[in-house]
Amino acid sequence: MHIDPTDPTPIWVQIEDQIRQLVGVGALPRGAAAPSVRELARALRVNPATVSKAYQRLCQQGVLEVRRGEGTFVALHPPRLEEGQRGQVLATAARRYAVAAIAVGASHGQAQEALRQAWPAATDDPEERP
Amino acid sequence: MSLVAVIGLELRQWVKIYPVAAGIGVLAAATPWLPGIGRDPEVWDRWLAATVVAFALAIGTALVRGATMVGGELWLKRASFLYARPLAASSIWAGKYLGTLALSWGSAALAVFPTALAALVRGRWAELEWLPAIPLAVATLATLAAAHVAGVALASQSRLVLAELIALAVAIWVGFRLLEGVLRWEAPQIAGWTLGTTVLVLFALLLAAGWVQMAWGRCDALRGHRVQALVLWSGVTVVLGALAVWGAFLAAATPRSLRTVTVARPGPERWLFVGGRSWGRADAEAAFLFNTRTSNWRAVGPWKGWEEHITFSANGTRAAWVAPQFSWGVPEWQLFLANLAGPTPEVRATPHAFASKDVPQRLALSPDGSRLLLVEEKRAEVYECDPWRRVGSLALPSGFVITARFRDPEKVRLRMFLPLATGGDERRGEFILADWRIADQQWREVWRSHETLSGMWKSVENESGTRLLLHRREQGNREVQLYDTDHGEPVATLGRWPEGEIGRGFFCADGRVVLGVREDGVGLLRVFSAQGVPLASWRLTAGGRPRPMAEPTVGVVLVSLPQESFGQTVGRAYELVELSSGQRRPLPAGYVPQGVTWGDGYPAPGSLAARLLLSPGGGLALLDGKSGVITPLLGRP
Amino acid sequence: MSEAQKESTGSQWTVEARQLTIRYGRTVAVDGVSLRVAPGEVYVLLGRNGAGKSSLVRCLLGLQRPACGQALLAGQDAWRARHRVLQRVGVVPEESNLPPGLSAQVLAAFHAHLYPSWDAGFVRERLERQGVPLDVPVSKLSRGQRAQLSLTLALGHHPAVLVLDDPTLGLDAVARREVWDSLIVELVDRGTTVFLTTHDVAGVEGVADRVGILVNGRLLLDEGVESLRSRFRRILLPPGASSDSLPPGQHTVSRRETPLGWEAIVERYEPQPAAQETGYGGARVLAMSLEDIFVAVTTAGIEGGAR
Repeated sequence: MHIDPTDPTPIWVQIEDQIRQLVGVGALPRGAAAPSVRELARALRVNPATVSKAYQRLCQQGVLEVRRGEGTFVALHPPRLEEGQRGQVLATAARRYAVAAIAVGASHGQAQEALRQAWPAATDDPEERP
Repeated sequence: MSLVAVIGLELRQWVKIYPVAAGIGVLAAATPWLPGIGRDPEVWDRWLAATVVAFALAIGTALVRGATMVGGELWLKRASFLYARPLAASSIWAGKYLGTLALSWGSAALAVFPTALAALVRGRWAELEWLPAIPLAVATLATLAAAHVAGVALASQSRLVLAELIALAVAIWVGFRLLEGVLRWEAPQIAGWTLGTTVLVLFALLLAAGWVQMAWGRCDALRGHRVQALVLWSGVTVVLGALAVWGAFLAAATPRSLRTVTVARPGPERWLFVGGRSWGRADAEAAFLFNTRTSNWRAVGPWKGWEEHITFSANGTRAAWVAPQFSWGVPEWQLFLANLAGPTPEVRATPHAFASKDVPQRLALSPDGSRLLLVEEKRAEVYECDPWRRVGSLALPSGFVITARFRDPEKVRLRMFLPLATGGDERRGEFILADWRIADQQWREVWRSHETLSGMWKSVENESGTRLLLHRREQGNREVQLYDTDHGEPVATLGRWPEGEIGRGFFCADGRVVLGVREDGVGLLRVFSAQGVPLASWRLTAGGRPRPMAEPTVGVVLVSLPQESFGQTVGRAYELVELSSGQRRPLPAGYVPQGVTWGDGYPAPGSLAARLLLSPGGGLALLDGKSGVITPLLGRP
Repeated sequence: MSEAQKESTGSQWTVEARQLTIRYGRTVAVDGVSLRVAPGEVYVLLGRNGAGKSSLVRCLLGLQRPACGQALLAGQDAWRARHRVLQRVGVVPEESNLPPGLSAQVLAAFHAHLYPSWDAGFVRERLERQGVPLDVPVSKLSRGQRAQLSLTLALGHHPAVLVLDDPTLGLDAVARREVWDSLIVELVDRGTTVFLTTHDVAGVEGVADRVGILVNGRLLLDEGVESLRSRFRRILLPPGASSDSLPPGQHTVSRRETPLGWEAIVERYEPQPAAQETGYGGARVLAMSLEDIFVAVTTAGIEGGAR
């Protein structure tokens, strides 16, 4: 996990997204303990309040849950995204990808091929990416 | 407590000075054993080294630490250490001061300890008084406060510091001038009080300035310097202003403000040289020339017990005196002349100045006030008053000049006593009455006889100088003789009384002579005619010998009567005695004749001097000889 | 947030400047600066050397009196209530102001007397962990050790407000990381309100909630970090493209020509519809790090928008 300072999205969004992704690919197994706010803040070198905010939202969304006296854990049953939400996320990401592809002068077919090739890599545990 | 913590911090940082001080102290205690000083040296030898070292350590520490504890920290930008902590500015201030004082006094104590121990071990407890503990403590604190302020000024690197140094020099100069204005009164109470208060206030100002710097300057060196300068310099201005006001107040005494009169030298007519203590001025005594009729007056300056150097001319138009002028070193005496002819006297200083040992013994003015006679140890000089120039000088033989006065502007009458040159009784010698014509450089003998000194002091001339009353010692008795000095012949012997039974007497206005005597244990006033014929003998006391003092009104004599108790004189009572009738009128209690001085003779009949009384409250009053009415004149009645 | 965090982020633990002006003789070091650090917030003040940061910090702590304006610490006037308010404030100054002859032990004991809430065990443990010897005089410590000592002494009484003036000045990368680390831990444990100045912008990027940029004594920017990052963009035009082909309606901070084409920095970025974006012949729009934004604002010296 890392924070990209040149990414215009707010840090807590980045944290949120990355945790959601980790949970989604199984790098953070269900029921496992999530990294504490303190550890994560230190590791990422960000304000713990920012981490707290991300965690709060993830709790609201049901991705993480707080067990009194024990800490924060990955929910046993992380929710699936609703169709509408998923569609929105896909559309935004797809638009961005399309723009990037066109910017380098790629064709529709080349963009699709690249996407197909990238898919397996993305589903791997991001911690093991070289 | 946080104050203790700050003190502790200060000490921890500089605690190394203690062992150094102790080491030096041991060395200092060992100085008596150094070669060349002797086995058992003087007490002060032992303590000298210890005291010097203690002072050096204490003052040195206070100086260095005083400047660095705040100024140094501001310079090195470390001042925020204490201020960024929950410490009140007063705690920081007190902590730094107390900490530095502990270092300073502690190291001084350690330096002195070995010497003190050596003394105590030998049982010499008294030696401890050689340690000037209080001056050391005070000097250290003063140095500390001053070093603090100076350190901050330097740390601010402000250009104001130059101006401050100049202002300091100016303030010191002004301060000394103003202090002179107070110290010239030579009044110990005033001087002590003024100096003490000034020093205390300046001390407090320094401390206040330092505190203000720490409370309002904090970590800002520039601002700290500015606020402390504000406090210091406004305070100094107030102090100088107060000194100026105080000096002006002291000098603004008037005859009306007199409370107790300490000198009252009457002139022949209405003028009076009067001085004493005024309201609100403690023991500062101011002198004035005061006209008893018109109440005009002029201030003469501070006065302190030099009345024998005041003289008036017979016509009352001039007065002269020699007064000491205050200086920080040896005082000088200055000769002054006053012109009393106009409504307000004019006083001016003559060019003549004397060292204390050279002050003239006798001062006299000619009857018309035009000339002044100065009698010094071996010389007499006559000066013209206006313009001031010397007109005559005379070498005198070694001896005493009993009196010297003008008979007229051209002639001076001298009464001298020349002790016998060799052996014998020093109190015997030649009594010489001499005339000196000023134009000549020599004197002409008018009268010479072999007398005793004590007899000389009692000899009296009449106003015109034609008659002399002489007391001669003759086989344990005193013989009083009346002489005609114009022709040099005796007129009569008034009588012979045993030693101690006859006092002084004088000539009345009409030439009668009065003597105060004791016969058969009874005090009498003997009255004689101008030819020496006994006229009356009035019984005044049952034991004490009366002393005639003056003639306030023609024919009435003021007499001083001793009050005896079991053979001792316990006081004096004063009475007016009518010479012809012997009628007595006592003065109210507490009134003492003031105008009579025993040096030159006796007051002229009916003159101001004959009528001046000191009232019970310390003021002056005038006596009417005829009616006995006493009128208050000046001061407390 | 933990209980401790809730307690120390009580509404009174704020740091505030109101129209603060500081003058040294005729030079104006700080000119009418107003800012406010909310409870529990981390405020980072950025500025070049000599911009007036240290003077501002001194006024905020009541160490110096401003020419005009007011500095408030925990809601009270910093100048008047300094010694009361500083009970709950930890201060790390720019240059070490510790008495050079004293050891860490002595200094810790001194502080224990000053603060009733002094945690001696925490201090000892922290110094040990950071490798700061307890009985060596301050003058003989390394720079990094001194910095950690200052920080420890500031944290020792668990303050509700931390004020740090360039705490990583002169430290190497490792020492710097350790300082920021300690800060983060402190934030986690106690939710301290923090006001700090620094030159290590990258180091505090993630930690800062709010940023102020001081240029020649004036506060040109006073804004939340996220807000800043969302509106600043760097636009790179490909080589050969003219500068006129920059998207319209942008507020440009600066533009310059590089060997790689025109570069413009805009401060109010409005994302264009996809078609218009691609129409700029390959213009690349990049987000900027806090350091980039700082450099851009400072060199351009423009008036920034608040909020």
